[in-house]
Amino acid sequence: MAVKIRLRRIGSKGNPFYRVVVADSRYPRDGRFIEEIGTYNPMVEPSEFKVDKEKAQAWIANGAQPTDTVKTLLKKEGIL
Amino acid sequence: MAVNPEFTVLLDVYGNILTQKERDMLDYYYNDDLSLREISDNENIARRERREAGGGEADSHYRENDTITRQGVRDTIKRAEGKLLAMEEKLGLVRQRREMLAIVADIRKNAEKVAVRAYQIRAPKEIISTASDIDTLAERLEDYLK
Repeated sequence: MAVKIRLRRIGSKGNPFYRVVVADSRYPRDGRFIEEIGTYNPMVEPSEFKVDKEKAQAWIANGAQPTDTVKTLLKKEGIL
Repeated sequence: MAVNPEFTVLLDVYGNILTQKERDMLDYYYNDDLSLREISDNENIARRERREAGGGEADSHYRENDTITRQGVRDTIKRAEGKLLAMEEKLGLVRQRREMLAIVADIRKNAEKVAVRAYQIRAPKEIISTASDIDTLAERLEDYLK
């Protein structure tokens, strides 16, 4: 099973807010996810990215693939 | 980087001017953080399912080749983004909303300042309650804009 770390939008119209989730890549859209490991708020200046560092690193060590967006955010936080 | 708050908000505001396909693809791209590859794969699966559900119609050969590439998805997304930017250029609803929210925040700050100061100098209750009314009205406007 390919596992991905991706953002998933929550938050109202005009106010995007994201969860960072670990999810099975085969079901990218049905809302199922394995674990929530953080949040991302792009609407504040500077944007706010909170993630459980240990969990993120553990998932990646176990082969989970972060999306390009998540990769960029993780790098900015010095986690990757 | 797929998640761009600018385009996400533009999609919320002007999404209805796009075609269903453009809207869906931007939604997958910005709100679900899917890659171009995942979007094209999902779209091709959906098209194949529709084809199979449709049965052996005369134009089945043409439909057999009806797939979209990663590049095709990218082109659709770029075109849709162009439409959203053009709309914002003409109507400026997102910029207007942002400016109005900043003004409302200022009004609330000032109303609070008046209320605090009026309390400190023991001003008539009416002044304090009017300042608080202004804040309540501004808050309603803020909720409305959000």
